[in-house]
Amino acid sequence: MRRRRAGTLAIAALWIGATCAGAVDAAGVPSPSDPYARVARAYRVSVDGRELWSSSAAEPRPPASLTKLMTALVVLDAIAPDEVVTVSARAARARGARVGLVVGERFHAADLVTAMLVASGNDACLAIAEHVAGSEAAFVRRMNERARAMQLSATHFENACGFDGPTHRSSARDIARMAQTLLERPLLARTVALPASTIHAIGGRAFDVRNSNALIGRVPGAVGVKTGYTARAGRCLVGLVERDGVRVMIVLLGAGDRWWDAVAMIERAFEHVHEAGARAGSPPR
Amino acid sequence: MNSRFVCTAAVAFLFTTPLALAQSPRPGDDKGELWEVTVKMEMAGMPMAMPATTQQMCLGKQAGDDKYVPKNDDCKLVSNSRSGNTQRYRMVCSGAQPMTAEGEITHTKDGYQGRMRMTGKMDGEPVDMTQTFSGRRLGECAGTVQNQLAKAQAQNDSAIAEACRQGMQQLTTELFFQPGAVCAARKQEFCGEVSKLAASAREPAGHAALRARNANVGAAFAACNQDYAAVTRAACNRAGETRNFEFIGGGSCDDDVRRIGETSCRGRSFTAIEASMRGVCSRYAAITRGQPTATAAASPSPAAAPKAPDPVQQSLDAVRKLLPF
Repeated sequence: MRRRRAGTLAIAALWIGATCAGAVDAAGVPSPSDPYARVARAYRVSVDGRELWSSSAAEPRPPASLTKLMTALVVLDAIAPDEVVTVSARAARARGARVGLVVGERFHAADLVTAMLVASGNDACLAIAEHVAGSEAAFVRRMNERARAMQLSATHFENACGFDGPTHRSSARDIARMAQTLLERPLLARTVALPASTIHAIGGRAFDVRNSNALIGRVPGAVGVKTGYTARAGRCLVGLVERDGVRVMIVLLGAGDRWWDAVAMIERAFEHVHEAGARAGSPPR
Repeated sequence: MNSRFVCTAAVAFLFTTPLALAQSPRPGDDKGELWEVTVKMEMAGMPMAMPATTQQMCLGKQAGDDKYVPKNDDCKLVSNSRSGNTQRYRMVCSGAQPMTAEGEITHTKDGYQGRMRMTGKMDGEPVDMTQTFSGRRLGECAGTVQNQLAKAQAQNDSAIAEACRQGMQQLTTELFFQPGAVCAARKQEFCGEVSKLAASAREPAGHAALRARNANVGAAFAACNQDYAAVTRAACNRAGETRNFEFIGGGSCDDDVRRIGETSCRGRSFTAIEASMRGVCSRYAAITRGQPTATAAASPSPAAAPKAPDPVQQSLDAVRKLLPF
């Protein structure tokens, strides 16, 4: 009698194992890895750091202002956020996206990082790079050292702020790693999530800066991270959306319609997670 | 002593220390005395101490002190004597790991404590190990097996009940409807729950609540002969009447999204979309852009599967652990 009871339990255990294993197998069907082949020259979509869909994600491409992700990392490796930075004449003349800094104005480093990451200001970027390393060239050496230390094999910088150059390049995969590293720094993570901010010259003017990342404030859960554009790079974006503890990160390099395509991919990625959870028998998160 | 040797010796230890006379309690072997035996091994050159292991086991009631001596198929007891409470023995081991062992056991009223030193060679390398062990008599084995099985059964029943409760909450159809399903007896209750949900899900709020329980509600509805498509259609119609665009853009009303999106989203700049329409237009982008992403979305990759532990699976795993075979 006892053995028969034990046998029943054993069969129950085997049945349970078979049932649950089946559910997991059903969720493990491989999916197409590149359903968005035409949206960008390179792209990568990840869920909680794991690559979901991608195209040419390891290919070196001009990263435009996504370069500033590394700039911010190197800056905060070197100086404190409250360190005072004086704008040089060269920084004040910077081309492209600008905040409008004037030579001699003084800022706390954190404010210039905000201007650089939120509004992509090249004047703020150059001012702080020169302050940290003495010259832009010296700062770029530090950026490349940091890239090597992070084993970003497709990445090489020629300048601190993202201007096109023959060997200024990175890949969607490397950029995702830079963004991930940046997001691990609370100050930087808070900064890239700001829809807008105001920075102040010490004893001087105030500057309103608005986030160039259109996902912020428009897509539920959007919390970063950076936009970029140059003639060679095209429209670029690193976007991060977090919902119910799930993080979807998207990197687009050379995108056509970057906002709508980003939104489409983000929504599909969350749907994908939701459906995978249902197939595996877990509650949606 | 190199690390390879340490590892080899440690593995060898696993084969030489079990008390061969001892047996874990198991069905049909419920005679003798129940003992709790603890064994610990120390070896010169080991980078860290090996943890002590404690087991309950039935020791035979046969006379003699041999039963307290650790045994190994390759080892022969060459001397064994007892004086008062102290037992001394010597063993010689042959084979691939020739060794000699000398041990001493001190007997107390309810147990014993012992220590055995083994010296010899393993794979040609010298080895010096000391094993300490102790035993505590707990009582008779009779009844122990039945008690453990009854306890395991109770825990098993409890874990299955919890799995069924969670399965009901998450509408895990397989737990109730697959052949041999552990919750098969509660099918009617399951369908009663689905029927209640079907009634409330004809309104957008109820439908959203239903989807929050489990994205794969279609299977639960089908198993209980409920028409999920009709319920969803009713919720979408109601959302249209009340201009509930948040619900329409939530993934359940894609026919409506396509129709609305053609006039309100297509060709418009992302930043120009009014806030109330962002959900619908985002959904419109999701279902009209890229390759046929329905395939991608319906075929999750392992990389995207949620990492959070599944409570139902955890309950079932707990059941499996409790089974003593």
